[in-house]
Amino acid sequence: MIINIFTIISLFIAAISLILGIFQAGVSVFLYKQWGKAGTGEERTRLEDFAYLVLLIASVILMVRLLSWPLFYATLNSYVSEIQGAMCVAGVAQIQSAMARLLQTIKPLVFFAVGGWLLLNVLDRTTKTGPLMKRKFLLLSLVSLFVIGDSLGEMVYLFKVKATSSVACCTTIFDVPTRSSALIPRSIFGEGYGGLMIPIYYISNSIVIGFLGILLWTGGTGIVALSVASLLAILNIPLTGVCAIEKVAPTLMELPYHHCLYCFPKNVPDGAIIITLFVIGTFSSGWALMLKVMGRSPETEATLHRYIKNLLWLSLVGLLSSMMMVSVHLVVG
Amino acid sequence: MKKWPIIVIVIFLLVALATSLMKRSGGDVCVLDAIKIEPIYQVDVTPAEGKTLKFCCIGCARKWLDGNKGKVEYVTVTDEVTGKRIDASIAYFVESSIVTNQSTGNRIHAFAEKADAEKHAKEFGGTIIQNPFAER
Repeated sequence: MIINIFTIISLFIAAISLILGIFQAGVSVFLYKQWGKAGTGEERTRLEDFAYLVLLIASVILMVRLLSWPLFYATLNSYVSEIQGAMCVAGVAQIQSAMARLLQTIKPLVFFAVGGWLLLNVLDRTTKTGPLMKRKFLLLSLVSLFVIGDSLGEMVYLFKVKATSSVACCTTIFDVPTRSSALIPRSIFGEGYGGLMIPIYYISNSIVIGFLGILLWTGGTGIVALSVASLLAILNIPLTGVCAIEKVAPTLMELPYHHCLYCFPKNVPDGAIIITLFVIGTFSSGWALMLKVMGRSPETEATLHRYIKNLLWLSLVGLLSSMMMVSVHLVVG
Repeated sequence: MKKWPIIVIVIFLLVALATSLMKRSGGDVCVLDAIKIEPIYQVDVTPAEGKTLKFCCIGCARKWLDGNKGKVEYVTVTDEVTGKRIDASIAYFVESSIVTNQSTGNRIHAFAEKADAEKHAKEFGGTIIQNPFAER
């Protein structure tokens, strides 16, 4: 185990999240079953008070949990100087690689689920009678399971990373001709695939942005329209990922033969902002769909429409800002 | 029409403009893995088309050449004794226990004189090897 300030903060957050996650998972199932059942006035008041306390704790812990995704990478980055052979996060992630891969897959899902639950909670709090309470408890029990898995995995992983480990640098993974990000486009477009990566990046992102623009222009917040927007945003992830690895990131880093995305924020000062905006833009359309599905009720109708529109705006602004920042670097750099 | 999206986009555009105008400082970096180049181990590869590429070690240059066979005009290595740049075809190469770069694990060293190469090989348990760039 490598002990530094990042490890201590990560372990502290993971331990607290784990304990409260177990508590939340159990209690939210109980509250889901009990909510709305007839009882004496005193019993109902006690249940409501307890439910609000649980929701308050859940809101705080889940907001902290949102930070665990960037904090995880900051922690791995802090290990680079400690591990022989590592020169970026990719090197550190080779230690206990299966577990590192699993955590890197779980964390975005937790981020999405937690973000969705927090939005649902905010929406419900705008109402007088709390019509979404049961759905909130149901979702909270599922989110808590994600949080438990993520926290436990993170703790185990951080304990297993040793300073005595020795790894190969990221070029042995990302710069070999047989890397999968090169094989797939090469098999489709042939050897000259490199020249198509930037046009594909723009086309793919422009389609998502254009569709979001149409939704905002027409005021379409129907479930089908939001599903299409989310689907386009999901399809945009692998396309942008491949284009970024193969052409966009190497060009912006001014390292045309280096295809490591982990090195991107290190070599491009605003690289982390570009990635964050893309993530927020992508997730926001998913959150809009999630709210549409789970937040429907006569009492939330007006507020829900406004929330969904704001999320669509956030999605559009996130993706457009990310794409425009890349454009500035391509033109000026 | 909302104003905040335009303001947010303009702010991020200005951030991108400012950072892209910032010049990178602190010496040359390897074109393959972005490591700062130690001049004593620098390898320059001049492709048939385009500008000369600088690498931090022989290992990185070889890795790049593996994916770019037939596209190289000439390769220049650095003599570890004098620090002079010499054509790889006239250099002597030794693979020894000394690692030039912890990240890449490169153990191949270049020398202009055969006597220096033999001395290094003897001192650090190495062997003189063929020019690693011969099949470029």
